[in-house]
Amino acid sequence: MCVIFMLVPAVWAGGKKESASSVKTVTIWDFKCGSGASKVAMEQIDALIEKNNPDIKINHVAQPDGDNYYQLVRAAVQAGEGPDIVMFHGGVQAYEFDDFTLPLDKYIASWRSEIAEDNWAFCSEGGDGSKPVHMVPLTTQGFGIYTNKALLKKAGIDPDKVPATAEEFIANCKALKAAGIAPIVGGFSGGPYTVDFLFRCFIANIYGDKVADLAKNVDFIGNAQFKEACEIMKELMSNYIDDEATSTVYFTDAGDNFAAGKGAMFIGLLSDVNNWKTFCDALGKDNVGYYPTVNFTNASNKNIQVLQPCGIGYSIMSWSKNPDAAAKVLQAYGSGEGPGIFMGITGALGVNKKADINSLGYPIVGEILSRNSALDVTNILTNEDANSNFDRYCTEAFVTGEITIDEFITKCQSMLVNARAAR
Amino acid sequence: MNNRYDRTLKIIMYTFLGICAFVALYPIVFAVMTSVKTPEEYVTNKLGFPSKLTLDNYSYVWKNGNMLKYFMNTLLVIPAGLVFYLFICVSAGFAFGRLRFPGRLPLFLSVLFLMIFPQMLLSMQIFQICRSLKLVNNYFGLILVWVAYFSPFGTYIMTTYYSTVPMSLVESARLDGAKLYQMLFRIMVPIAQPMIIVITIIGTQSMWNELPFSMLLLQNADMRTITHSLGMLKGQYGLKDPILMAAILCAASVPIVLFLFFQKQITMGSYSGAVKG
Amino acid sequence: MKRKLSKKNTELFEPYMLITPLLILLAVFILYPVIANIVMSFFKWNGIKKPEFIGLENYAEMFKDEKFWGSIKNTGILLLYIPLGVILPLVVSAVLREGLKGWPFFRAALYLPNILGYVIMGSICNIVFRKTGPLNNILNALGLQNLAKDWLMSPSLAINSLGFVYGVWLRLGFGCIFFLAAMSSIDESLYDAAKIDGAKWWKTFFNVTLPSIRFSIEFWVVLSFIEVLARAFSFIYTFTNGGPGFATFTLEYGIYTSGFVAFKMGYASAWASVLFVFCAIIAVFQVKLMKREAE
Repeated sequence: MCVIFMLVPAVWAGGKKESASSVKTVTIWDFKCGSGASKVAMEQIDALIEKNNPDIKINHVAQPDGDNYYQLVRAAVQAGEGPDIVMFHGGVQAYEFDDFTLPLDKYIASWRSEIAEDNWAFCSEGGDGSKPVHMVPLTTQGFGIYTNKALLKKAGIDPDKVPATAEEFIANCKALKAAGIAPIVGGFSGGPYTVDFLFRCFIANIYGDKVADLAKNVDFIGNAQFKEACEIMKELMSNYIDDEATSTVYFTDAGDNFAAGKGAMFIGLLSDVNNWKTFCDALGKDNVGYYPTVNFTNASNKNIQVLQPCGIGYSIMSWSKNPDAAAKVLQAYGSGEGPGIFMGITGALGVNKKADINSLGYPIVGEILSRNSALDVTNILTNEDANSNFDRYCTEAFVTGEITIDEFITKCQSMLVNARAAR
Repeated sequence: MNNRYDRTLKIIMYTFLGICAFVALYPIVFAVMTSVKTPEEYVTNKLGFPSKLTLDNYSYVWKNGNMLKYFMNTLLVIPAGLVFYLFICVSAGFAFGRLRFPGRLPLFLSVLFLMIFPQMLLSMQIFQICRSLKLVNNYFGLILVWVAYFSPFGTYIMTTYYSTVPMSLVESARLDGAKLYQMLFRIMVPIAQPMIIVITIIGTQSMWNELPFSMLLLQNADMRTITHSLGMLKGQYGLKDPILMAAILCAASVPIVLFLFFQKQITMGSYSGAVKG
Repeated sequence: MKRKLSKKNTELFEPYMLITPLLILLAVFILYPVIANIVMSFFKWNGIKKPEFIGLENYAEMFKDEKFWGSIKNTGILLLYIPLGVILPLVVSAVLREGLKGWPFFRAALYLPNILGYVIMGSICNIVFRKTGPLNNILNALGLQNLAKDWLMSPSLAINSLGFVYGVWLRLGFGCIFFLAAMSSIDESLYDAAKIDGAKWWKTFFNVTLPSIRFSIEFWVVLSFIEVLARAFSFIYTFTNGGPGFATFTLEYGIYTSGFVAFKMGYASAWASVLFVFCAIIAVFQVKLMKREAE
């Protein structure tokens, strides 16, 4: 009995952490800093902040990414206490917490101009540019098609020309196949990301600056070009996406395959993994080309780049006891040396206009950022649709072929209905 | 006639078991082989023997996954949890199995009834409860939840065991004037020793492999258990197979070691419940 | 006189003292959540704002949701593997009880999946079952190329692989040990009598072995239902993630998605209430079984 009662306080004490010091500790919850290039970059930036601000100490907590992360944040919100700074994905996932994050306008005033107003608007309450800003954007996330120039040349295709029409794109695929090269390296095990990401490009290509209106009154149903996009997808799936790849995992195997030169094209993302940096390092800086999308629409949307104005960003939570210190940390990540360090090490695209892209030494980045951009459709969808259902519908329609294209379009339309109901 | 029949049956059985054993063991062999391959080699050579052995995957898992700390955490939490678990299972098992009191059967059946519910059903509410009781981020809270979730089964096993203990033992202990807890510790525990070893092992394995509740209740990075930390390594983008295999083998290490040493007790324990009690 | 009385009194309370900690824990951490869940299914709550009472709306939405009916169908398919998961260990055990050389080795190998836990087994099986994974590689090496399919990327193959691996394969080892122990308590004289009558193996199996361990068989069936309905989540999560599409999306998975991905807690509770009904039915069977044996 005594043993038990002795154990209880011991265990209880072991669970709690006490800290009392004159230095302000800023706790950050982050789902990127746990591993990989992000970890290295953030450690550097944190060290820089602590060096420049001796009264600030940073406690950077790595949380698991994925579904659990927002569960934890919700738990903290319910408890009314938690970290000072929380990392969010831009868009609906951040807006849900608007009531619990501080408005940042006064903290960002001094360096506001370094980031475009469009990005700030996206990071405001509910995405409404007229309302206060609640989040500092760190990266912009986009999607596009990486190409292996050497393999394109081998099949007799001009590696620097972006195909002007879908027919041209398919003709290129045919030529690659005839030359014995896998046209597109894809991966569907664990998630049909190849299909998912290409659709985001398609949607940007079709709707251009009207993507945001999909959440209001613009539909998928009845749009002939959307149907055409689905049919192109089907054709790519049956003929031109590497067959063996159906069982590889997108984020590891498929990307690795492309980096190893096993295919001419890769539907990729401009995030911190499987990105231009990884591929340039593997295939050679001059050997990696990029198409922002597959073009098949009117001229104003040609070569449009789908970009989320904020991929990930930081917000200060309303219960924070050190908002000023936290704001300094945010400033160090959002401006100054921080963005450059982050971009250089991870390859994620930053939003700070002052960050010197050319000094990174990868010409392709400048090329990507110079284009017109459109919103990513998943930024307007509900959590469940964006993170789970859309992928499942893509699998049903294009990987397993369980449902027809019309059924797929109906399901996509239902996602829009959900998005509209949630507003 | 019987002999030939028997022999063919035996041959079929050996073949069948052989295949089963192969199928059961091959994934482990595969995991080990993959975990010592470099990720680069794995891209091209997924299934064969590694041409170059490397322990990098393990050091990556160990360092980046902060394995040592989490091992320590787990080594702290599990024994503490086991103390509560054993206390409850043995006491309740003895009461239900050997003592006679009104309401014994209905209460026992309700315990069994509550054994069924899946973690998914319970998680959301359990979190709310722990929050109001200030048990989040607290090993004590996690232990209570673990014990609540795992002890019905342990109690059931102890009950079936104790019901086979002769009543005379209990009677004579009482006549000797023993008080309740004296009887419990001096007599009941020693008698049930083999079974207690069994439920200790079962309890350890359950707690070691448990994930949903630890994820929910332990939010401080420092407090994680080792199984929990593996979930963290995965991240949104998944993990390269070689590293994943190394991580899995690290997490599986303790259950496997326990199993190899206590094989007999573990497999004996599985059937208590099969025999009518 | 006085001493004897108080002794009698404490004796009366003893059992209750012993079981009280357990009962309190169960009431707080299992009974209350179950009931709270049912109550929550009549509300709308996203985890941050205040819950809002909406009556039967969650249920109306659920019955219209094709994901719901799909998940019921998937759960049903998994349940269909239970007979095989009962018969196979039975037959194997019956033969094994005749004695087998090297049994400890086989026992260890068969039981291994159990101790690794579902999360680990799910991850390993996920890699093994891929189109370019070890399973297909072995099939190809054996010359069975046309059997080497894409197990995880075809809806019907995925759900059936899940059913077979989870419902039959993973539990074979445990089942054998379980039934072997049960059979070990059968009276040998019954077998001797059967032998004298010249009964063949099958006859003995059906007339002697099976009836003698009836309780164990019934218990195993109930256990199987519990495993499929209420314990499969970790395995499905790591094995197929509910996919491809919605092919292995079960009730448990739906609760997870609605509750922890969509954060529609009330809606998730409605699904959970349906699962509760299924679990309760099984629990009643289990309780009836135990009651019968206890008498």
